[in-house]
Amino acid sequence: MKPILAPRRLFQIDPRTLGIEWTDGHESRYAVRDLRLACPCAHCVQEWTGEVMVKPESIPADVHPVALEPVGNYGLRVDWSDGHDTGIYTHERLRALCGCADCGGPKDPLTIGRLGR
Amino acid sequence: MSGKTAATVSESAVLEVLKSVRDPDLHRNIVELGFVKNLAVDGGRVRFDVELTTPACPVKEQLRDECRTKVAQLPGVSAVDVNMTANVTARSFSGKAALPGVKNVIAVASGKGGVGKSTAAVNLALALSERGARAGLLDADVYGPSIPMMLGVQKRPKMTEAKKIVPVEAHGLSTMSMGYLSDDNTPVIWRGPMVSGLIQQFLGVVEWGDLDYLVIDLPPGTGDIQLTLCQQAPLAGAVIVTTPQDVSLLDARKGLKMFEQVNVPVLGLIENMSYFVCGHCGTRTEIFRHGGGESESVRLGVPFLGEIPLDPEVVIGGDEGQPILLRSPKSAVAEAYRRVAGAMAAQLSIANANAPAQSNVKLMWDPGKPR
Repeated sequence: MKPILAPRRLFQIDPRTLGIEWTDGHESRYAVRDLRLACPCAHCVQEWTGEVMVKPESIPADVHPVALEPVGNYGLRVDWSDGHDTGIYTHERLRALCGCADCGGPKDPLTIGRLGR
Repeated sequence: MSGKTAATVSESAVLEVLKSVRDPDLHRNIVELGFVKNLAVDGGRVRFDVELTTPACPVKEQLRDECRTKVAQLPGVSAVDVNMTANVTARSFSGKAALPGVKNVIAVASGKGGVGKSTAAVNLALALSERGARAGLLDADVYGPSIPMMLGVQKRPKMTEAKKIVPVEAHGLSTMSMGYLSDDNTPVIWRGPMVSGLIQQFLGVVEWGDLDYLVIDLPPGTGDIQLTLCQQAPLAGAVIVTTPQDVSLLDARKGLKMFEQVNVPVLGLIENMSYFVCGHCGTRTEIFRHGGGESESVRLGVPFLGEIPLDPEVVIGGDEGQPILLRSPKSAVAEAYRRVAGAMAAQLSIANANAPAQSNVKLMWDPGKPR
């Protein structure tokens, strides 16, 4: 059985930063607006082409989660302050978005497309 | 030193020798695992409990014998009393506490229909119950619910004051099925979203109570209902039922991929209809070829839980509401189901022991939190 990679702990670092401590011990930090831009839902990423349809200018600068909750064993659902709540962020996608040096540095949320969806 | 010298037996000496007894599945010794409970030494008499992670443990007797033999060899010990108990480990899951009180939810799936998945679900639940576990059975096949017929029960479930549905008790199992709510002759013609809603009801509105295992009989395939269940139910694991021929195995592979995508541990493959033993001449005939399930398990890297032979008694029992485990408890099929249930429970204990503690709480964001 392959080991399950999942968040062990979710925590808020500051009003703009989410922290995830993973089951393998890794710790990731996310600028919450980048996470909003990386929403994987069918409104935000075109189902067939993977084209990102989110217009960054339409997302408030101070957008932030209202609540985050786990979905099954594989993802997180985020209720956003702009009313958007349809995205399920798979653990795989979240981990791929980690911008720390060990994970290859910052990622562009607008090019991540369907990864991990 | 003479053997007659009254050597005092110390608890620590007993624990020390028990450290050499290993759980073959969890690969650690039973003292380190915390299985040894209520150790009492009274002169030369030693008694203790060994609390396993499942009452369906396939190596229970072997462990008992090993404990007894090893402790009896200590100087000064005149009698050893080993009491085998079980406290089923629960999967600490991430997600909503949809099913409080239910320790483990196991999905029984198949890639295609007709492989005997519902029969397997019924008999596996009964085998777990027979070994002393509290087991439930949820028939999630809303389009073709077959569990009521197989269990021989057809009654409407009661409602509690708090508008919760009380599961129907059948042969010691707590059971729920769409079949209890509709009559046999009216097919359920529902669209996907309605079905997804119903599954949520079955999980949330049914008062399952305290269960060690809730076995869910999934509809065949890898569609909407299966996905909803994986999203909503805190699945501790899944087993996939297949027949030995390639077309069935091909679909079993798809099932496996689905569970992997949603991080549900696949506890193993069960090969049904493996062979038929002629009641007259005893010849074994492998109707759908043989060994496909086992070789596929190896290829996919999942445990092979065992093979179940074909027996017309199974079909008759299913149609008459008498599952084979109750109808012919000594038959080869019943024995096979017990072995498979034991292997499944053991794999679940392993999965639970290896599962990292996951976040299971909702994080509420505080926009005003100071830096």
